[in-house]
Amino acid sequence: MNGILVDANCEGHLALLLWLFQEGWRHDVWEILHLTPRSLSDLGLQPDASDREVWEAYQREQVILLTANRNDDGPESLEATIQQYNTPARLPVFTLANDQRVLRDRLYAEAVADRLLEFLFDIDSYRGTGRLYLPS
Amino acid sequence: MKRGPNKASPMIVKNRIAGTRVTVWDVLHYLETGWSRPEIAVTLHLSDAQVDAVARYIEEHKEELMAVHQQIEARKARGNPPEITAKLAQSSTKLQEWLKQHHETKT
Repeated sequence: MNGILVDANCEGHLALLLWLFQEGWRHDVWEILHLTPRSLSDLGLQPDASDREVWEAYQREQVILLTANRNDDGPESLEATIQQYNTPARLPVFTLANDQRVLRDRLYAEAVADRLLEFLFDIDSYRGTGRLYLPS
Repeated sequence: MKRGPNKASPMIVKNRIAGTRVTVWDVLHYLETGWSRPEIAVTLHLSDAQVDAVARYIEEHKEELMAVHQQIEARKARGNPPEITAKLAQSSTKLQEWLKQHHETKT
């Protein structure tokens, strides 16, 4: 994996998670994962890139996508893109189940951080799974 | 459901804030849980005018936007399927074993 891409709707959430990744056992795991935060522009994407464009870019660059993704199921949506283009080799997309709670509830944010690290530590087992919710 | 550019709300294009990836449902989620407009603007990196425009747009199209909002929330509430939960138990075990070995190596 070549980094972690944060979607426009959860930049503050990733900042909080990165802070939590510096604590205790999370620090050891985060250190070996060695994932550099990447922005949409780092991947050559415009600020208003469609879900499909974002999906294609993060798959091409083999980075992890963290999003809150609240969209309908239109043809350019993430949901439709996954349905159409997902294969067993594709990386999943990590979706915050309750993005505002991450920012207001420390224990919930820690549960999200822990679960994300569990997924990332074993990421190849989750290729092809489409969308994964955090913490769920 | 795709709208716009919208004459009454030119800042909203296809249910997104123009020039961004932020959708009206992103903002609706925060408004519904009692966040103030300035807090939402800071959190989602929007201007006050953009948040105000979305709030107006939501009021004008409340019924159809709420229907999609409820679908999104239902999908999120379902969470991961049982096969992922089972796989996670295995991943958690792998991680614990690695941490144990890692700490033994360090000490």
